[in-house]
Amino acid sequence: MRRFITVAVLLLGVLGRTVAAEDAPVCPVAKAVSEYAEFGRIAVLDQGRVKPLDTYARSLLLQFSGRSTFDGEPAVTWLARVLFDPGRASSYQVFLINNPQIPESLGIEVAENRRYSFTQLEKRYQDLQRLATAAAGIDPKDRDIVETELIRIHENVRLYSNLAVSFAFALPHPDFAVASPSLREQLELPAGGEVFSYIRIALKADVLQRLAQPLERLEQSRWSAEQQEVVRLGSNLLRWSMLYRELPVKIMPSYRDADEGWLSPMDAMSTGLRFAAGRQELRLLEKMLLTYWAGRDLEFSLVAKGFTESARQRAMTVYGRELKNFPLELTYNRLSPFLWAKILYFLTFLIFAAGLMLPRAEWLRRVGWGVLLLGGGLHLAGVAMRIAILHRPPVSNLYETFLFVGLIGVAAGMVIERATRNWLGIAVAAICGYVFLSIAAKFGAEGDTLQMLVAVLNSNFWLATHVTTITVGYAGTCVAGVVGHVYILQLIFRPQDKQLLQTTHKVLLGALGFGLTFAFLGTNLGGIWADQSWGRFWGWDPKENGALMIILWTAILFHAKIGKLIGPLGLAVGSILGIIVVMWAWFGVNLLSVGLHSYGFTSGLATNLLVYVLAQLLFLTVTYPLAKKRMNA
Amino acid sequence: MTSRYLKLKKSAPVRWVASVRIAVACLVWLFVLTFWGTVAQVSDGLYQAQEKFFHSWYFLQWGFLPLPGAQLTLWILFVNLAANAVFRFVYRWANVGILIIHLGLLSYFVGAFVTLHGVEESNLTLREGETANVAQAYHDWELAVWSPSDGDALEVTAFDVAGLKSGEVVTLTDPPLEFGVRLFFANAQAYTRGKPPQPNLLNVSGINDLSRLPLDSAPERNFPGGIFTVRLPDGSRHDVLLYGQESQPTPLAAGGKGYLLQIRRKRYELPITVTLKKFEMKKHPGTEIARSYRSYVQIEHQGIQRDAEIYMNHPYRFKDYTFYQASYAVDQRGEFRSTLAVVRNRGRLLPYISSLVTFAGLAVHFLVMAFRRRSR
Amino acid sequence: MNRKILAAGLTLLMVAGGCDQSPQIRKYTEIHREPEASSLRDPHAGLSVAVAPSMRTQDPAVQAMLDKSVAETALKWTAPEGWSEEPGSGMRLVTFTGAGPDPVTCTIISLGGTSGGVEANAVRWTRQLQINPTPGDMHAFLESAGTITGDGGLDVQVLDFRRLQEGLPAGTPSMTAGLLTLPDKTVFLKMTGSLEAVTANQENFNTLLRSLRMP
Repeated sequence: MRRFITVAVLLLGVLGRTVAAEDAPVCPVAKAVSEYAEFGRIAVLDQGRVKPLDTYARSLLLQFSGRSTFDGEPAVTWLARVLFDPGRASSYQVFLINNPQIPESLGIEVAENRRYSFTQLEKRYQDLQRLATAAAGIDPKDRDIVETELIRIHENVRLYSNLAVSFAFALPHPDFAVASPSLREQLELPAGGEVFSYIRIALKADVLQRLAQPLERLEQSRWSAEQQEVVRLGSNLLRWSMLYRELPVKIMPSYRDADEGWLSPMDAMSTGLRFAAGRQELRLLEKMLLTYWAGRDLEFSLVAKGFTESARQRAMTVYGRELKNFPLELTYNRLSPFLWAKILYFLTFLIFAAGLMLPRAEWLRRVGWGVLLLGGGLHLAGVAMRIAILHRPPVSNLYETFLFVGLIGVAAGMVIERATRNWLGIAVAAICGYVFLSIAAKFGAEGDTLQMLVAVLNSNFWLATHVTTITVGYAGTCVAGVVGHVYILQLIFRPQDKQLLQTTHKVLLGALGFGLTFAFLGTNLGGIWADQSWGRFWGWDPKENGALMIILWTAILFHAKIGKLIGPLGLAVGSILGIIVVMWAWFGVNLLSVGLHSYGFTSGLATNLLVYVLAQLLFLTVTYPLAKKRMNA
Repeated sequence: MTSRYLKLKKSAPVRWVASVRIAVACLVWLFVLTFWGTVAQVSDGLYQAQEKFFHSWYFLQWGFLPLPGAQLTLWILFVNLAANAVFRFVYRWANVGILIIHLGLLSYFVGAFVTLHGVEESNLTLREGETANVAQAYHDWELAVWSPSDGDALEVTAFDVAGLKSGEVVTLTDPPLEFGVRLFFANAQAYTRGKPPQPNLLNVSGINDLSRLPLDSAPERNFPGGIFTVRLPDGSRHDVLLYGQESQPTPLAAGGKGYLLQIRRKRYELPITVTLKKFEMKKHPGTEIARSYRSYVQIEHQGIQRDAEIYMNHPYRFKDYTFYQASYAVDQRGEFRSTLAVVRNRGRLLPYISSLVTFAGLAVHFLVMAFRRRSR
Repeated sequence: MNRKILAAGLTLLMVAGGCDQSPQIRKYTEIHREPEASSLRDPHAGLSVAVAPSMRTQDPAVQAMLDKSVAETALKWTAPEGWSEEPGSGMRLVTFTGAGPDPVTCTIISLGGTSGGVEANAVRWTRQLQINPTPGDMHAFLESAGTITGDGGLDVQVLDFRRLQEGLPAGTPSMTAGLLTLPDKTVFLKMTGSLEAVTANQENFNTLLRSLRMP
């Protein structure tokens, strides 16, 4: 299949390029355009959601290479190259394979930057397929990290190869060479070339049929060369339509209103050619490829725009809402609000660190507050945009909960700062914001984060209330943990400042109470949701148990304080350990893959969780004895 | 306050029972159990872990070490909370929020108890056009007896087989049959070859022997079987072998009367008849992810018919029964089978009441605190 | 006073929790009605598994090409005298009908690939004719299968099932079959009719076989 493309690329007679005959197949270079705004705006249906090609390109590139840009260029540039100039794109090192065992087992030279091209992988495709099929036969829980990765790489390579042929219909190919000049004339093919693309011939299928009719009554030995060509073209048309099917890049809304499905151009060919709109759109797509090759920026954009308008008209009734959100989504993509917020949070922390050296610099505190506000504002804007794009509360997958908890943590920090005005809130907010956005970024590397919902999460009211409340509970408990860290450090470094310690202690109690309340509320709402949906209020499901553990832990801390079993230091240590409990409830339980809550998983998570726990325990072992000494002194 | 009350209040045992330390100890142990029980689900399965850690009074770890289960811990907590409410709690307006919260917690315990002992969970699978008025249990089994009839209604007499022991006798009055248990295994293996333990052993599937199998961790994989001596009203005795995996009942005839016997999953009679009129499934376009699926049913109650729709997050409730859309299946002919989960919970509303009370308590507590801060 | 009531109530609650349930004997009425004989639904409606793609493309022009390529079997024949010829469609190339009150029917079918071989087809046909030869008879029958070489140089294996029907009445359904193995396909020629009619038309059949040629 791929070799067809390479050969096709060689025979670009239509564009009048010449190829040095002495050289081994040298791919002619597409000039490529520099303006992709209109191209990025084309709507594509992927994983149940209508999104702009810009988002689609980003998620594909993220999926293959773990980054949303390639070679400094935005994802949409790369996608255009893959679709329109697959020969050249296949040498781009776009596949990220972290584990060196995989290229070794495939006989590919291990690359230092861990990135490989399609050409490299295609050569060893047989082996890859064999290994991946074997790995797929193993139960997911028993697979090791290499086997899971093999399956992922195999899927990616298959997806890439399908992408690369999505626009093959517009590239000239020897299967559609027409030698007879009179036939070319009858088919109204452009002069100056002998090789044409699938679509050029497919558009004239009715002519071919007319020419083929008399052949039914004629013996094959009596057919003329031209007539033989007619039959050959026809059967090649058929062969292609059966070979290139179920391709990605579904940019053609269905031509039948009742149907909700969208099709890739090749798949749409059979129904599309019957409608004027379909023929027009397919011609536009062909033109898009040709203008890309010729490097004609303006024409490329105009053609893309024309296509979008035509496709939109058909899709408006069913997908009007999503389509209207495109400008917002494109802005969201371009803005990367969370990246900037993260940077600002880091900056805030640096200002806080400076503030430790200059404790009485009130102006510095205001600066810190200002930067924090800016970061928080961007963070909030990002979350708000997601709500607007998806029309649902932003807590339906793991990625989103991190964004949301970060936001609540920052908000809580701001409230604390307004109450205490002594840097405590700023520190808490900066830490929460930075840490949670960093973790979110790791989860975001799985592809398009604006996913559609599984059926059970489809109920908006319970989703909004239960998951939101419990996430706020997670945030509160985490904030308490951060304050706990601050308390211990304050006890070590400023034991004489009793006023400061008391304020921090009060804030700690408040945060714990806040966390307990919301965790309790959220768990309750979860029970009500479960009763409404599945018939039981409480089922000792891992996620339910996790939430219960948070409630129990915070309740234990409060009651131990009331019973005078622990003092302020004990409370601080307890809140720090509370973060571990939250992490367990939040995504530790997902690792168990049992029960109703198994709808989120990332490899490497277990290791990271373990590392965090060990680091935290180390912190406590070092600081607790010191703090205790200070307290007794 | 009577002097007896005051003396009681100061006595050591009462102070100990109502102390916060007990509460903390119970909470800590519950915390440990919750974690342990969650992790155990991976190896033991949800059901087993639930039974061992959460529904039990105690369990033996490593075969010999007795540890309290969640039920015992919650009971102690309940007593502790109750004792606190009676003897130690300081009834001040400032504490009213906390009081309401803890009363709410008490009611949770009550609700949990009622649910544990009162809930009946079963399921009902229907093809389009099919009608039924009984739902099947997930793990429990019964021995059912009925007489064949021409109509579509059967009068069934049944008794639970859980815990049947050899030598036990179960006497039915209508029909007048007596079942003597010769042997019974909660999970059995059936054999169709080899010598039968005794001649004239009746069984419709040709099974002539059973042996015991260890209980499977997944309770739905246990199939019970037993050999019974059935004494008929005319005095004759027949030995019958029944096994849970048989699809046909074993017929027994005597004195012109025919009976059908079968060990099968327990059936619960529903107060209504359910007919599945149509089943509909929609996918997210271009994917295999189910977006929604729903059953269109007709409910009949004492002659009155009603139409209803059952789908995710939208169950059908009838008295204390609730019908949920649980899942569906497609067979090779493209026909849908819709599975409805049926839950009968007489204490269904209790958690809602508890939730309301505790929410109110939290709200009140925060209001009181805010009010006090304002007034200072 | 209030505390006493509270204490009493809570104690009662605890006591009430003590009762356990023993297995009882239950009686119930079980109603079950099967769905009415359902008309066979379209098996592709609403399936949750991916539907096998349709083999017919939807564009009529392309479909015509498909029909054409199938019809081009590159096999020619001459109809024997007295047999009327009806063009077929798809795999069935032609149907002949013999003359007379008790006519034979003869079909030529072209299938891609090897189609199982002589023996498998012979067994299949004996079943169709409801003949049950012993393995020995079958073996002998296959050994005795003749070959006719046509004018076009094509070898056709002939299976004359009358050999297995000796002594049967004249009206018994019978058959003579021819198998032509080409590189990419197998062509079956089947003449069916009553034993009497098949005997009468044997020579016509052989003429047909001999006339087979590639253009």
